[in-house]
Amino acid sequence: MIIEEKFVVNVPVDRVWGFLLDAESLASCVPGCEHVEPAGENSYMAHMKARIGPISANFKIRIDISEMDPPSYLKSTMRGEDSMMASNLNASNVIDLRSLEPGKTEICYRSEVTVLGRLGKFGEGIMKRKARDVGEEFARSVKERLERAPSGS
Amino acid sequence: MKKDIELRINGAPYRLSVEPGRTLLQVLREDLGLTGTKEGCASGECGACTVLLDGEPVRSCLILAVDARGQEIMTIEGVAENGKPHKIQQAFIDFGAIQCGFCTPGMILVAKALLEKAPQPGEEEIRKAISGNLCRCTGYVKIIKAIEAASQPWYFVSKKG
Amino acid sequence: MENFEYFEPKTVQEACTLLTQSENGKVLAGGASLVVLLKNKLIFPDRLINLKTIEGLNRIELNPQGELSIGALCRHRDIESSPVIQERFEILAEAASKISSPPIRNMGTIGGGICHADPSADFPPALIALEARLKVSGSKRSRTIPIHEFFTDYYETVLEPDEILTEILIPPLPSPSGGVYLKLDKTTNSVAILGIGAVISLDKKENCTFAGLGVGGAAPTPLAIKEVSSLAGKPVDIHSIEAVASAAVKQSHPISNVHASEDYRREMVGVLVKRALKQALERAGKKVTSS
Repeated sequence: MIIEEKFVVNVPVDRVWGFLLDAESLASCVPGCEHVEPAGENSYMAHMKARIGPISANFKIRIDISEMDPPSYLKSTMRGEDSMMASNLNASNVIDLRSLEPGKTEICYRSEVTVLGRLGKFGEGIMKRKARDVGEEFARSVKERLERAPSGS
Repeated sequence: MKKDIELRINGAPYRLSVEPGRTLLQVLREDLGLTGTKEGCASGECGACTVLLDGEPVRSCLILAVDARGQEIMTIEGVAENGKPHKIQQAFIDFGAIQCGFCTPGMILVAKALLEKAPQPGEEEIRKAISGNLCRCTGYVKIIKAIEAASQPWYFVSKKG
Repeated sequence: MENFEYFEPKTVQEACTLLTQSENGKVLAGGASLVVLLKNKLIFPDRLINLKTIEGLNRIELNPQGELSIGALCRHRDIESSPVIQERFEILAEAASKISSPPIRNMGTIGGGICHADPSADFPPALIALEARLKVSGSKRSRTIPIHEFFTDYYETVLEPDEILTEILIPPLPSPSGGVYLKLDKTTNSVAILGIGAVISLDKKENCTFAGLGVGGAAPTPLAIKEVSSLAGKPVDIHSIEAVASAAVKQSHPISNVHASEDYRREMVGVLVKRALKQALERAGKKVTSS
C-alpha cells in the first residue's frame, strides 16, 4: 500500500533538511515509532507499534538511508519483523523537498509499504486506511514541529 | 492447563483431558479419531466442520471443546442407523450428490437437522438450510434433489444388509 | 492455540472481577468472532471468560416501561425467530436473518457482535435506527450507553477492560411504524459491503413522528445519520429523503478493498439510504409523496 502526502511548511528548505536527517526528531513524528538508535552509518534501529482493535503488532525495524541529494531528495528503506505475529513490514520511502519561496518549503513524501505474513492476510482495506491515518498524522506532526521551533534551533 | 471434561458424542460419553484452547474439531479428529468431520477454512465459513449440537448445526472449528460439555454432539459417524445408511445418506448416493465427498458430512448433518424440524421443506427452505455449506464439486443441484427426495414419505432405504 | 486460563463464572460480577485480575483477558460469548482471532493467532489473551455459564443473559422480553430488553447472549437465530421481535421490531429480525449462515446464527450472539465492533456488522445499523441503548456492567459500576456513542474506531468501543455488555434496550415504537434492513453484499449473507437500517413512525395524520437511520460499512464505525430527524413533523416526501441521503453520503468515508471500492461504497450509500427510507415508509403503511 502507498502512503503519500504533500504539504507546505513555513520554514526554509535547509532547516527542513536538517530536521529530516535528525532521526530522533523525525521518528517522533511517526505515530507508534519509539526507541530510535543509530546502528551504523546512515542506519537506525527503531520499534514500530501498531494496533487495530484487539490486534497489536510490535515491529523491530531497521532503517537504511540509501540515497541522498541534499537538500532536496532522501530515499530510505525500512525492514521490520514482529515474530510474535509472524509478520514482516517492508517499506521504501522517498522524500522530495522543494523551496517555494524563501522561508517556505513543500514536502512530498511517498512510502510503499508491504505487510507480509499473518498480519498481511488480515483486513488489507483497514490496514490501508490506518496507513493513511499514519501518513496524515506524520505530516501534521512534522509541520507542527518545524513551525513551532524558534529559528536556528 | 488441561481440563478434564466429558463430551457426549453420538449418544456415547467420552472422558477427555484437554487444553482449553483446543477446538471441538481438533478433539473429534485428533483425540477421538472421528475424522468424518473435516477442516476446510479454519474460520467458520465453509461448513466442512459442521456438527450438530443439541440438534442444531454449528461450526466445530469455532467451538472450544471445553465449551461443548453438557450438550449432545452428533457427527457424521452417528447418522447411520443400526449399521444401515440413513435415508438422507442413501438419497445422496442414489442422486449422485457426492463427488469428492469433502462437504458431504456437513451437508448430511444440516439436512438431518432440517428434516427433523421441517419434515417436508420446499426447495427454498433446503437452499436456506445448506447456505452455510460450500461445495466445490457438484453445483448443489443434486444435493438439493437428494434432500428433497429424502424428505418424501415414499423414500426409504430398500437395500438389504 | 496459545495457552490461557479458562473460567466459567456464574455471575456478571464474577466475570468482571476475573477481567480486572487479568492483563488482557477476553470474554467468550458465541465464539464466532473471538475463536477465529484465537485460532489465527492474532490475539493472545491470558485468560478466557465464558459468559454462557451466567444465567439470565439470553432473555427477550418487554420490560414494564414497554422497552424491548434483549439479553446480550441471545443468539442471532433467537432474534431472527422471536415472535415479539418479528412483530414489533421487524428490522432487527431482518438484520439477524442476513448474518452469515444458519450455523453461525446458531452460535453468534448479538452482544458478541456489537462488542466485536466490525464496522460492517449487520446489527448496529438496525440498532442505531431504533436508538438502542446498551447496558454495561463493570467491576465498580453499571452504565447505559446510547448505541451511537458506543463505537470509536475499527473494532474498538468505549468498553473499559473490566466491562461486559449485558443487555440491549430498544425503546417502544409508536404505531404505525415501519423498519427495514438493507444489506449490500456480493453473495447472499457474505460480509456486508454496506448495511442500512431505517425506521419511520407515523401519526394518524400520516406525519412522520420519528425517523431513525444507521449506516454500516461506510466508515471506521457504524454511522448514525442525525439528519434523518429532519423528516419528523410532516409527511415524508422525496426531497426530504434525498436530503437525508446526501447527508449520509457526506458523512461516509469508506475503505476500498477487494469487495468494493471507496467510490462505489460512497455512491451506494446514497442509493440505499433512499431505498431504505422509502421501504420503511411503505412498511409503516404509506407511500412517499413526490411534493
